[in-house]
Amino acid sequence: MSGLKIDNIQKRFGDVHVLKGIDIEIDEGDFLILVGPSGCGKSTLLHMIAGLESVTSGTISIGQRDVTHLNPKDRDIAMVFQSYALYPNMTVRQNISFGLSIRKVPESEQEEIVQRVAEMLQIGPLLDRKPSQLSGGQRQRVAMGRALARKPSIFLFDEPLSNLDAKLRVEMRTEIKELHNRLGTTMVYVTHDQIEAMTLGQRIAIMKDGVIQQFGSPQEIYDEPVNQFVAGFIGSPSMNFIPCPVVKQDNQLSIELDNETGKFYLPIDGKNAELESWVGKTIILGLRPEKITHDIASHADNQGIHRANCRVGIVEPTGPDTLVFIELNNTKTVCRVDPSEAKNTGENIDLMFDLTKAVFFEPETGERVC
Amino acid sequence: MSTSTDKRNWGDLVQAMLPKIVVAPTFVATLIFIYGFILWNAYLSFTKSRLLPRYDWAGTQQYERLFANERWWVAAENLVIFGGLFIIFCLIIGIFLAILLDQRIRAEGALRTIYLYPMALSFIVTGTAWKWILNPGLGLERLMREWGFENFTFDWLVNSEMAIYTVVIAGVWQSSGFVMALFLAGLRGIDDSIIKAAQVDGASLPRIYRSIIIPSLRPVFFSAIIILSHIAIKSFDLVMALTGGGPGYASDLPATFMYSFAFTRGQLGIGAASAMMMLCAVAAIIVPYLYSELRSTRRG
Ligand SMILES: Nc1ncnc2c1ncn2[C@@H]1O[C@H](COP(=O)(O)OP(=O)(O)O)[C@@H](O)[C@H]1O
Ligand SMILES: [Mg+2]
Repeated sequence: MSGLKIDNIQKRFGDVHVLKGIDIEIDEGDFLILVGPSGCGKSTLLHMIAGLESVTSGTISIGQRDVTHLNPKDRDIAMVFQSYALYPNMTVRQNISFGLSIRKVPESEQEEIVQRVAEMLQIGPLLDRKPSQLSGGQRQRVAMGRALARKPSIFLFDEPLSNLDAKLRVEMRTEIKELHNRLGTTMVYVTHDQIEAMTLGQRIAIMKDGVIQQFGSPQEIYDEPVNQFVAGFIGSPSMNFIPCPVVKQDNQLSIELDNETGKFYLPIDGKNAELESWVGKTIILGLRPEKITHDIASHADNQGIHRANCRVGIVEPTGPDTLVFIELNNTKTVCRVDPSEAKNTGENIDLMFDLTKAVFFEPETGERVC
Repeated sequence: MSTSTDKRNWGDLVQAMLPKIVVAPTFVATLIFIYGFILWNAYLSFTKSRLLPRYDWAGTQQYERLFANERWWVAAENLVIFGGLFIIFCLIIGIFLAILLDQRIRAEGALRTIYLYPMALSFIVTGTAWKWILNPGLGLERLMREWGFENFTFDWLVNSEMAIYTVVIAGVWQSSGFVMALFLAGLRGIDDSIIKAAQVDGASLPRIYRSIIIPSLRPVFFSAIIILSHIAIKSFDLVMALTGGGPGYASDLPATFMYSFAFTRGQLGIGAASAMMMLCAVAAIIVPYLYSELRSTRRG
């Protein structure tokens, strides 16, 4: 049993309240992502799990064991740091075996472990080099190797990929995921990159200002964000937030949208009960870019699909899709369109709005309405 | 049109030459007063010069007289004692203070200034102050006796066996703060997360310093030892102010030996020869250092 339970953890640095009551519970073998903008307290939380930072209040348990006040070395954890934190005076081999020799693992066994780790991460040829003679990607591997040498019950990663270039980052991301599948060890992974969070995590905790905004699976968080912050943080390009008046049109609850080509109304099906009281008021419609597409004939009869003709603003080809920017209620709105269907700036395009996954937020608080 | 380009050319020329023009006087001065005089001194060491320079070649006669001189060997032995202890104690105390200050204690700025302050004094002031402190009739010994420790004796300053050690004490007092500053800068340059990684690996704080931090400060050791050893070899004013080389010539160092032979005893030739020996000692330390420095900058 080596799940992780964080119970109402608080952290203050003097007057600064950094973590304001964090609750997280994951099972053994889970891959937990802590994601949020810089300065929201992710590293602080991770360091508290590791025992490198004291706890102001609350408890941390690993498995059944309360580790809140244990030293890092007694917590059975291994950690990979953002700056890699390799020991500059030691060779790669010594870096990997340092923790083992402190734990008095016999020399022959140490060598065996170093070989196993080196093979797993393909760093065999680097074993006798010093960290200063390695590239960024190689240092990253060595840092992982050092963590892998011991078989801890939890791996902690603090933005391990953020110093790598884009291509290497994607490769290493896949490798970390494979590693997790192979080892099945519980992992806690801190990142500020929402793509990393979505691709790696089984459980994602989205943090802002020392508070967990939402804790759930990637798909849950993507489809059912609890507030505008989460909705905007996850997904790229970001979700569109369009303020729109709610009206009764032909006895059908609708939202009013205004493009340069004229006003049009999109009926809302299925959420009438919640939105009835909003008639005559303005609500924030949250609609992901891939829910506004070119006209796909085969989808036309599906429920919740509506067509509208809009003026094209800026066009950004990305390869698989072209991002078309339109103006709705004076808000810039991104649509994901097939490249062959995209129009040029200033032309009109027939777009298809899919409101089945649309979400609505309070304009003032950003809280989810429905 | 052509005049304006001429003017601009002149302006450009002056601008391009300006750094060279500014540096030229000091360059010439360095050339004459340092390297020129080194060569002159080297020549004098092979002549029969006594009170005044003479230029008749005498081969290695002055060196033979130097090596036959018992006082020279006392000075050389003193240099080994002084240099060795001075460097070792400065390093130990400097590193110790740096590690303590690195624990993010309060009032660090004030403490750092206090320890660094002796460096701002000239060796003359240090020497004089310590002469008073260590003077048996005046300083520490008298103080302790007045406090009631009647048998307390601390007479190293006037003891010819121990006088050189008082020079060590004053030198260490003056320079260990500087070593501390060097090491503190080095410690501050070490990434915090390296220490955290070692903690997660299970290492205790002393072990972290012993196995990781101090070994990775090797370049700092190197600089500190180079600087300290050249201070040690050149030491002159400290000895002059503190012991004057005495009692007798018991605390002579090569620099004070050179001064007294060349300028007070009218033995310019021997003085020049001893100066050359000091130059060789400094070169033996500095040249490998410069070599490795230049090589690494060219590489890096
Ligand atoms: N030792 C410390 N003393 C005071 N404030 C700190 C300390 N460490 C972190 N903080 C503050 O805590 C907040 C969260 O920091 P951190 O956990 O590093 O953020 P993140 O990793 O999410 O970018 C920041 O505002 C930071 O300024
Ligand atoms: Mg961080």
